[in-house]
Amino acid sequence: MPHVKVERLTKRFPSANGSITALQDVSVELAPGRIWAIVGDNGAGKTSLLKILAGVLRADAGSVYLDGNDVTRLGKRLAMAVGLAVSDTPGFYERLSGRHNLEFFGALYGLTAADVRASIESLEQALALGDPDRPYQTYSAGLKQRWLLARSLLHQPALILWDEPTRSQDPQHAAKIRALISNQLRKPGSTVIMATHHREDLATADGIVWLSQGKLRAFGERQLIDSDAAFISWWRLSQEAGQP
Amino acid sequence: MRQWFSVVWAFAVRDARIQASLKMGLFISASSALLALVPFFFIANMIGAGASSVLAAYGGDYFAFVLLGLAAGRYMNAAVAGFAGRIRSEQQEGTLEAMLSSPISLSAFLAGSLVWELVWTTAEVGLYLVIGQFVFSAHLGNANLLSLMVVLVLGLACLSALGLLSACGVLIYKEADPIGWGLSGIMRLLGGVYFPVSLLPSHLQAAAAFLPLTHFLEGLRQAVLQGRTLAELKPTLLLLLGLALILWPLGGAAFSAALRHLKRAGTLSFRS
Repeated sequence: MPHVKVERLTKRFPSANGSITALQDVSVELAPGRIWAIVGDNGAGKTSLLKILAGVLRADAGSVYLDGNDVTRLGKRLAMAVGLAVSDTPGFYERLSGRHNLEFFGALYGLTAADVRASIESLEQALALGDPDRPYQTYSAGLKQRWLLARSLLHQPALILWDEPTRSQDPQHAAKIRALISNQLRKPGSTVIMATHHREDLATADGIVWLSQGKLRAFGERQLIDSDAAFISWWRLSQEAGQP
Repeated sequence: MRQWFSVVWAFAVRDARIQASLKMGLFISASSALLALVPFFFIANMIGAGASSVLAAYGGDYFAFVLLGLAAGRYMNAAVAGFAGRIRSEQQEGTLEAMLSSPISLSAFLAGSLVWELVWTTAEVGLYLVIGQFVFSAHLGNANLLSLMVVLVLGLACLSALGLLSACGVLIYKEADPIGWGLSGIMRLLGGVYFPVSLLPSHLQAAAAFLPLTHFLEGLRQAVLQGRTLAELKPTLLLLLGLALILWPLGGAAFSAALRHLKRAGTLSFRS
């Protein structure tokens, strides 16, 4: 049951004008067994935070602890605990089928082809994965996204990190993904942290982490944040700007 | 250990499946091998017996000599440029990040990334040799297969380590392979692919002695063209082993450092 603690996290990326601050002094503590939504404008630091939690991005300062352990020291245990799905770089082999892609990535986690087949079958209803034997390059953007989510769940991770899970989805498939989050992933043994721009996704969350220009604006129970005047105002403005 | 082999096998299956999806791959390999050999067949005919004194240590036949040079050049391309190119493609497609967020060890990742490239290149080189022997009548009948295998393993270990260094350049600079380009160019020029190293000026011969390709090719030619035994090849084999023992830790450490750099820079996945 992963308990995530983030302490004074700072991340900068080099840029032509010096550096861009993706995260600045962010500290949050996310209770286990819950669904957490990270919200904020584009460039607020949502994806960077997810990648640092997964160990694929190193922070410049600060620490992240998973069940009290520094994630930079967890190595393989972190990899087994985390299921990461970042939409901007799905990382699938275009010429392989969805099934063969998952068989490959599953093998990296010690799963056999039969394990992967069983996972695909069990996720088929929740994610509508279509024909698993067609080349990945023939899938629509929405279907590619659902295979990405399926891959992140293959090894049954305790900490699920999803970046815009309903991206590129039509309303029907977006609803299926939300149902998966609410009905199957919300359980004592797992914690879900998802970055999102969508109001409907937010409704599935128990708590919210609100980032703005790399800084933490607020975090806590969804009902508390969601009824906050500043949050309501920001959300309305960002909707008008066409972001969520 | 079993899991390590399972992971390497998964890489090989992945790459074999991708290769199988490239319908023209085998045809292109076969025709490339044929086309690469034709000019050298005529050059060898033109040279005739004129080069036999220079090539006496290799049996005197220029075509057989250069055939093995081209074969080693293919291995060099696969291990150095091929590996670096593959890593760059993985970085651009985001699969590098996906793999490195999994629990695989660096050694399994590296071995897995190389294995199919080397298997496929061995098939290509086999094709070169078959065409060379049966179409162009190269004399390869004296080959000592055990020596050939040992030379191949040690030579590929050295070249693969250079591939790691080359991949570091690709990962960090995020563009064409500057290290591999330099290494391959120098080795092709000085390593004895097209002519014996003994023809080079003495200072370049001294430089060639530091290149793994020089010793790989020497061992390959002695094993295949002169049928030398392992005992006879001992000095060359020891040199290759020594180079592998130096280059692999160096390449592995450089590759680890490159990955750490990418994790800091946030460019494990990078779309150009």
